[in-house]
Amino acid sequence: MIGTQRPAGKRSAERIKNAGRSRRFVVAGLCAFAVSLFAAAAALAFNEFYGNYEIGNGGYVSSAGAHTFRSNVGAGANKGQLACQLFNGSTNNVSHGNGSCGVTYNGGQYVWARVYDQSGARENVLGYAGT
Amino acid sequence: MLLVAVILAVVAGVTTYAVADSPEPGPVAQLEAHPGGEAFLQGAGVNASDATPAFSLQNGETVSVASSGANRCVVHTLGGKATGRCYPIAAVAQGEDITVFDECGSSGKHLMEISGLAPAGTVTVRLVESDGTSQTTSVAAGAFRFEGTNPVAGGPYPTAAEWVASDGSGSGRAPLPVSGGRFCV
Repeated sequence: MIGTQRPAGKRSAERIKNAGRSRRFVVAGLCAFAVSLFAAAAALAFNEFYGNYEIGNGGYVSSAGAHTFRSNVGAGANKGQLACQLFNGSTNNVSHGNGSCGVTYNGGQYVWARVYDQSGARENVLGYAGT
Repeated sequence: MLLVAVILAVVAGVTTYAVADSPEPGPVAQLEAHPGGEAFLQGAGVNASDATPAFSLQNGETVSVASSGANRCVVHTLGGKATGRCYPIAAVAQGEDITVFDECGSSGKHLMEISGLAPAGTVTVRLVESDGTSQTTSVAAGAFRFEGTNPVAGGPYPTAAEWVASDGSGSGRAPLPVSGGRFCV
């Protein structure tokens, strides 16, 4: 039995090696956790630029789809009237402004985002909606 | 020594000319540079949380006022999300900052809220309707608000804000940023 025991120096070296492995494992775990948290946060937060092209009076630029948007901001190249909208079948929040507009919605439903050109002329319009 | 002074003077002159000659980026450029509701505030170097609350709207929004150099800024905050923009003093007098909010959905209360900054010296703002009638409100912290409901089809609708000084005299008039029949787009 005694003959199978490893020398004390070797055992100590092995312990240090195992401790290093454990530390690496913990660090890797923490990194994975951090990455998953970041991915979850990224999945929850959704922002979208849309439009940024010229439209005529009464026309609009629109988000690609509905989302749980809480804010929608519009900007026009001139100081003309714009209307920002967040809407679905039952919700329709609209905010009017000169040269820019911003509308908020706190209902938690999926809504579309649009920006209307109400300037009376053609205008380059950009929208930005975020959850 | 003289050469260094000359070079510094030339560099300073060129820099001053460049800054003075740079046009302020338009709203589209500002939104591209600072995506989000606070785009136009960040573009002006204003933090929404530093603005002074003026009042709350029925939809839960808080309207706040901030200053940035010669500009005045109006900030709307709801559920931790802020939108807003800064305007030169002259633009405030012209009503460029006025916002008309309409809650048009079937699930809402059909609220209409008109708010904005008032020019210096204004104590009361008069909201003029398309049928000639009007209502007034007091200025608070340099801002004003009117609350009502969406105009009904064919009925009167608000068209302009008039600035009224403490002696009752009118000091200007600003059109609202929406035409009749377009309140709910």
